[in-house]
Amino acid sequence: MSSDFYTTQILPYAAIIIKICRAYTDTQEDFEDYYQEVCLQIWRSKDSFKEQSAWSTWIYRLSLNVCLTFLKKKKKQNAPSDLLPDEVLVDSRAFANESLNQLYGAIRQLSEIDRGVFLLYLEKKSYQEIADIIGTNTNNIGVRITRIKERLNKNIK
Amino acid sequence: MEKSIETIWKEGFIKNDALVVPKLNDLYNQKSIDIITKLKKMFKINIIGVGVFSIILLVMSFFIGTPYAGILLFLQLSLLVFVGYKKMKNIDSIDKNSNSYQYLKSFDEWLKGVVIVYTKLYGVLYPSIFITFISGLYLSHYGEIILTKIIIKFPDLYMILGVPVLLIIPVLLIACLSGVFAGPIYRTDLNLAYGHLFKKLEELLTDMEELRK
Repeated sequence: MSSDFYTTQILPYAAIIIKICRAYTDTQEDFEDYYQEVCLQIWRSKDSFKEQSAWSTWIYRLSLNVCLTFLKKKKKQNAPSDLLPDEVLVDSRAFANESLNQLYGAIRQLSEIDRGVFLLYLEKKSYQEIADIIGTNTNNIGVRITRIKERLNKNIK
Repeated sequence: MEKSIETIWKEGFIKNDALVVPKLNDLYNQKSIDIITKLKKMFKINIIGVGVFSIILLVMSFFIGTPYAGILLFLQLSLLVFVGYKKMKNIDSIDKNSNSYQYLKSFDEWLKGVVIVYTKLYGVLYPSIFITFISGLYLSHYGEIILTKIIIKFPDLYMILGVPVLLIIPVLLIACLSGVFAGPIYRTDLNLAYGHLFKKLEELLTDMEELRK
């Protein structure tokens, strides 16, 4: 990946990638792996970007896809008995802000798709954009978000 | 008053330290190690497979009454195992302490060297293995039964040293063609088994070359 492309096309959107990768990883090591893989995939797939959506929207979609794929691979590789309990895996030092750590902890308890939906909601994406990125219809996005919020509020308290 | 989820999210990312960008550093190293480990493992399995197959053939040849053909096939396949083993040993001489690009490049060169050696080897071994195998079948009990039936049905069959010419010609033709086209046959075989890994290796090298520009 040329450093020029990274600096101009990826780095300004690094916040998006970081926020998404954090929601799909439990350790700093995994987070760095996912981040790097997303960057690599953006660079590899840059020619397939058709400008039908904003570059940032495309990055959201690609980041979510990479994270979901990575997560599936990881699940296949690790037999359930190999996994440590969630509380051991979760890296509590991810953010200095304790409330944010708590929120991320609760987000990680959601299903893979719900995590994506809610992250996009928190990023102030419209229902239409969320549906486009996730690849679903807008009908149940609102209901889904309300349900997720209720669950998160319960888990955070 | 408790903060809402939206506020926690918004405030959490106000400070820049929440969004520290990780360094892009170790990914290529990890991928290089991963791909080479997989290829080495597959080579090893392949060599063991050929070795086991040669032993099975040897044992079977005694049962069907063609021990000489069996021994010959065993020796020819053992040569493949020996060359493979020697080549595997050479991988260890690649300097693992060099950077991942150099390591991958050295591995790629080693691989190309292996393909050249095996292509030459198969140029001789494909025809010889084929001829040995057919001779073995021909000289076996079953071969004898089939030959007797053919001779009874076609008594005017032209023979050289007791072998029908109609059998010699196609066998020699196939043997010659397999020798001439040993390269493409071997590469097809190689691509079937290792194609996906070779592609990954190539992609990784291209990525790294682009990075170095």
